[in-house]
Amino acid sequence: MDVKFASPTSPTTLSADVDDALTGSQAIEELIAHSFLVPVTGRREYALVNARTKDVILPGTSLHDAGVRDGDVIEVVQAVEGAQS
Amino acid sequence: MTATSTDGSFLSRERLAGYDPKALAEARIVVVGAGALGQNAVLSLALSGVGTIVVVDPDSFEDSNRTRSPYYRAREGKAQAVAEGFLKSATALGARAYWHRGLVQEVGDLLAGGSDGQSRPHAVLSAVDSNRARLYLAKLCRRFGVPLVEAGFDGPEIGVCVVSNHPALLREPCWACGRRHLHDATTRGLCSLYARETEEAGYTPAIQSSAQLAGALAAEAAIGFAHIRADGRQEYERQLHERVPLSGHRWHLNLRTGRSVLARLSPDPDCQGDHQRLTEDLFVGEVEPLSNLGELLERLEDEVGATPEVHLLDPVVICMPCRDCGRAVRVGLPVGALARAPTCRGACSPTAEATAIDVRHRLSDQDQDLLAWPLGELSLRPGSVFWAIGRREVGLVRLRGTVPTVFSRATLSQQES
Repeated sequence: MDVKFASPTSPTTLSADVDDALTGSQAIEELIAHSFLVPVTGRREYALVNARTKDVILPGTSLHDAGVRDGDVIEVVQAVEGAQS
Repeated sequence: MTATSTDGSFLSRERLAGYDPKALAEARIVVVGAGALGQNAVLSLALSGVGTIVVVDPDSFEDSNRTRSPYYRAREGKAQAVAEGFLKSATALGARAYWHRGLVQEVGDLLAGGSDGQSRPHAVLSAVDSNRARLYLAKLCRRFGVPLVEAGFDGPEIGVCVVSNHPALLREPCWACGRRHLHDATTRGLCSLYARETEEAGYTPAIQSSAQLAGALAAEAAIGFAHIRADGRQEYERQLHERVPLSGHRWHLNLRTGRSVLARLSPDPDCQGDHQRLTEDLFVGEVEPLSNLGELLERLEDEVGATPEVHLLDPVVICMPCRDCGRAVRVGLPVGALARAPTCRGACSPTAEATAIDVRHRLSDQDQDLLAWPLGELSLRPGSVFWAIGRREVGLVRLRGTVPTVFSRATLSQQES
């Protein structure tokens, strides 16, 4: 199915034809492999959110099971973890 | 309308938008982590009129904290300084603040409700930096059905996550759902280590504007929970939706770009978080905190019958090798509270052999070596909850304890007030 990934750091999107069995974590790995995302370490992590439903796409859940449909936009979020001193 | 506070000053009591003054005055919020975010949240709670807070933090202020610490007091313990700061800023009449300088794992069960029935907080606000502590808080709040407001920030990026943990909302995800990486992540440790790291790097990702905004969002969610007055599930859900619309969501915001994403949490079937819920009907009794394990086991015979066993909710590290000399050191902390191997500081018994880590989950009269141990050294402190299993009954037992008896109460000097 065709989906668009929205960048967490710029107003750009990446159109992609993805297998609906692709899981959330595999999608992030692919986006890093295609240099759409830079690898993050430490306090940050990427998360995927379906812009239409506002549902988080879990790392182990396939896009299909997460309710993603053809034409959906998937927001990539750079989530921060933890407070600072 | 104005009212006179106990010190003679006048406080405005006009009704603030969307707030019920009575609900605010009765509100009890626990703030775990008194760093930049925790302090800014406390400031919002104080000015908004929240009546009671409990602050937990093991650290002292470092010079580098100054740029985002409204309650900064050079070199002093954060928990006490922030609790006293709350009293100074508070607009609630008769505001109260309690504090504990230490790890939340040391006092955790009590945060979810003590034996007085009054200590149960309306919300726990997690503003901690350690993933270990965050996971512990998520588990604790889930167990006891206490709402959890969790916030974090890194430079201009802010994240706030809110879960009600209400026992009737069985399908509600826990805070850890979908966050598998946290279980493998290492903790950064204490503030002093972090301060050294940032000083060496010449860069700090903590900025006041983000701390203030994240703190305000977290405070508002906690205040929302304090306004919910409902017993049944339907009414609770209605009020939850109305008062805490962020519940069940994570909100991400970049302060500089204005980009924000609101995401609904999804239950994760593979979640490694603890989804166990310990409801009041599972309790079979309360006992006084006795002096040692042997006495506790004797006393438990009255509650659950012969040959009682204590099953701890979180395993306790009895002893482990000293990181300096390798000899056995008594620890007495829950597994999750250990950030690093302990040191004997020269007090190791010269005859003690180096041992492997001794972790216990179950305590009974078979543990002859532990019967004389003080309960505190087995991670059983006032307010602690554990499973008691005897011939007659199985159930949860609470060691009596209340917030006022376990935590220090903050006061202000004459000049400060």
